[in-house]
Amino acid sequence: MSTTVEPTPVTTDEPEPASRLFGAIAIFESAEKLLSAATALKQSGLTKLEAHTPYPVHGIDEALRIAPTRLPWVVLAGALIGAGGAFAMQHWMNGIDYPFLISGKPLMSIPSSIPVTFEVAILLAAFAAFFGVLLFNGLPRLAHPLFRTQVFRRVTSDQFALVAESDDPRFDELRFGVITTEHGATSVESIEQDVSSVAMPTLLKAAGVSLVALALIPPVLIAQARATTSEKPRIHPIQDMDFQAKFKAQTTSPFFDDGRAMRLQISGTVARGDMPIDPAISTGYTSDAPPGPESSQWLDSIPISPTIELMARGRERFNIFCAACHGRGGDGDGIVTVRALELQQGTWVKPISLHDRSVRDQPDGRLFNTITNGVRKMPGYASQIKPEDRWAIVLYLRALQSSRNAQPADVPADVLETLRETN
Amino acid sequence: MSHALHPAPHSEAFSGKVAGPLRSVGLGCLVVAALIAIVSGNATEFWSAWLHNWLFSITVGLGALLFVAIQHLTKAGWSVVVRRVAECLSVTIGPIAWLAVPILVALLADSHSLFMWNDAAHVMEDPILSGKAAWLNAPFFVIRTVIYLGIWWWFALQFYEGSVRGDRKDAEGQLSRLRARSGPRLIVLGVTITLASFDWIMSLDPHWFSSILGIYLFASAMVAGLAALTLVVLGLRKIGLLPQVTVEHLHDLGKLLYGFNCFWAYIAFSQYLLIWYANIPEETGWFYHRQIHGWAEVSLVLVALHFVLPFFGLMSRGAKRHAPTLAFWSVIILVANWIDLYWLIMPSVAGRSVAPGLVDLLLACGFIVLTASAFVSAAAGRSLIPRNDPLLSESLKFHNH
Repeated sequence: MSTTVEPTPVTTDEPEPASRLFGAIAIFESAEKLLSAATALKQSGLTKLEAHTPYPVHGIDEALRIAPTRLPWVVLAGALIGAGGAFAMQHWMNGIDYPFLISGKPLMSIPSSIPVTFEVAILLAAFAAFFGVLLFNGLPRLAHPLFRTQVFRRVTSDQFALVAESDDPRFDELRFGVITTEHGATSVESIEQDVSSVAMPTLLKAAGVSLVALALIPPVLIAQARATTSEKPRIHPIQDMDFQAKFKAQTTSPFFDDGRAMRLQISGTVARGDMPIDPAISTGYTSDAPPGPESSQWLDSIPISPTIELMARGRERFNIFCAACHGRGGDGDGIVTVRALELQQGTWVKPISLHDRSVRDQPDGRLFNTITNGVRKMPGYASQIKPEDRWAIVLYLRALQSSRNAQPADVPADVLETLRETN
Repeated sequence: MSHALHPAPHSEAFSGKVAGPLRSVGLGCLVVAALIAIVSGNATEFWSAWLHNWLFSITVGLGALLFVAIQHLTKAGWSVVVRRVAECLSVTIGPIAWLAVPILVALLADSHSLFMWNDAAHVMEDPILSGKAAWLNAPFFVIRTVIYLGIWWWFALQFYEGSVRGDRKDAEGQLSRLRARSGPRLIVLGVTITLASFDWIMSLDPHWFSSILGIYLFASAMVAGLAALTLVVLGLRKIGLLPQVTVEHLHDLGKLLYGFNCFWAYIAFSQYLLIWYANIPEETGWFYHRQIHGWAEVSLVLVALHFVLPFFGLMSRGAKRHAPTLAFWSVIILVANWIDLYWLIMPSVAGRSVAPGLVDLLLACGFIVLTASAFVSAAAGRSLIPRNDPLLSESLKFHNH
């Protein structure tokens, strides 16, 4: 004893033995032998029997009489909770807590909530599967008596093991050895269990508690910052984005003599779309400021030549920009108007019919000015419609008006004939 | 290969004797339906029902063809024992393709009771249809349909005959040839299925467009093909002609059927979501027609029958491994596919209401019976499994983990 490096012998003042029996392990060379031994052991009445194999063995579930796993139900429950929760969450957030109208859709629409519902269902199903496997298998487990035996190490490469546990009432180590050997076990061993205290060491416990306490500090700081006000300037974590090396519009610059950051247009150049045209064409009147309703300074006719192309252009622009409120026929019954009146929107002013005498009698220039600058609740369209297109719309509008007030003499004779026939 | 792996001798005893009578019954149904149409003078009802039921039969064969091509592409071992049945189902495309002839002839004869783009006077007045006239005109439509059907039939015959030749000699060589071709063929199938869906379904409502409709038809075909394959395999197994098919193969067929049924729902919902969200009248009109005049109820039936019920009914491992349950859901999914095609086609056809009539049922019977007859002819006198396939032993021993 004195010459070998043996572990310290059990001291006499500890009455407990260092270990007790956990069970027995039998090693097989093939899956077939393991299966037949497992079947025989099950028939002998053993209930606590486990197989350990290097790869999944077909028929092992039947041989060990393992009941079908309950995991699918847990996964299904996870998926249903995820789907229901995500659906309810979206409807509560978007429909109740903070109603937010998106593209005129209903506040609680089913189609838009399905992708998120689906994703959260998958997420919780995956969580349920992952944590369900851990839970059902009693994992994570830091130690197991099987790892104390040398023979168990080869079950991950080329050997097959059957393990019976001693807390099974039908466990009998001798009988286990006999049956497994009959079915070709190459070795049978008993497994000892460590009986030292399973309590967590104080040091680990202290470290764990400290970690949890430290982890609470950031959320507490954030909560404090959110609940109070501060006089200090805000923190700029991304300096390059918050402070960019550039000049903004309408600011000064020490770089140029005139001290402006914005540069003037170089003399003799014209910006795109800024070609100077006759002010009468771009305004519709000849005076310096918009004249009164009855003034003679409104242009009386369209200052660009009225071609069939211009008419087609005017019709297209009218249907794009005007028809939504005024209606395609100009009667003031566009879809926006119809909808607004349906919803009884008090602030909506129904546009008057463009066939009304008060509109028909206006000079062309005044109609142009209305399109340009708007009237009453109608906004100006100068920024959206080019001057030529505004004149095209005036031209088309005149055609629309004529269509309601034409005399037989205005229509070519052959067309008149066809019209008579169709009527 | 060990002797024990050879199939039972009666696998080859599948006689083609019933094919003839089945063909007579099927053609009889079609003729009676045509007579009813002539007497009642309702051409629209007849042509729309013909297109619908013809397309239903085509999706079954097309799905089987896609299944076979995918098995070759992936060098699948598990599916060898059911591949011959799928090959026989896929060659039904041939006889069924001939039944497109009446529609094509009617189109060339200027009939526009089904496709309004074939009405020259109407197209003249409609700038959108005039713009599409270069594509949507009767001669080009006929040429395209012949090309799609010709390609599919040719692919199906190649897979079928190569596999049958392998029963006698050089199975390995035949298989490697088919495998090498399966990839490019799947690409061609993808393109032709997309264009076919545009022609046969989308052009019924020629103002409307949806680029996802091609994959919608692909999903329908996969679902129809897998459901029909599962049913035929279950039937042959029941009468003892496919003893090699175990519960493990049924489980895998069930998994594929389940997966592609969910894929169909995913595609159908994607199409709906995008159109619903953008809310552009030229796109939403198509769904609007499917929400009025009783079609809303059909849409909901489709959601339930084609997705929600099979989703939960076929979800568990037990359901897929229990032959009667699997057969039940295969029938439900096939019926759902029939309703789906009905729902795709009929609301776009002027003068069709929700309720199917006698002509619909006669043509449904006729086309289903003719597909069965074509299957029996293809399977007659053949081994019902590719008996020399090098992967057959893997398939026979196949187990799900």
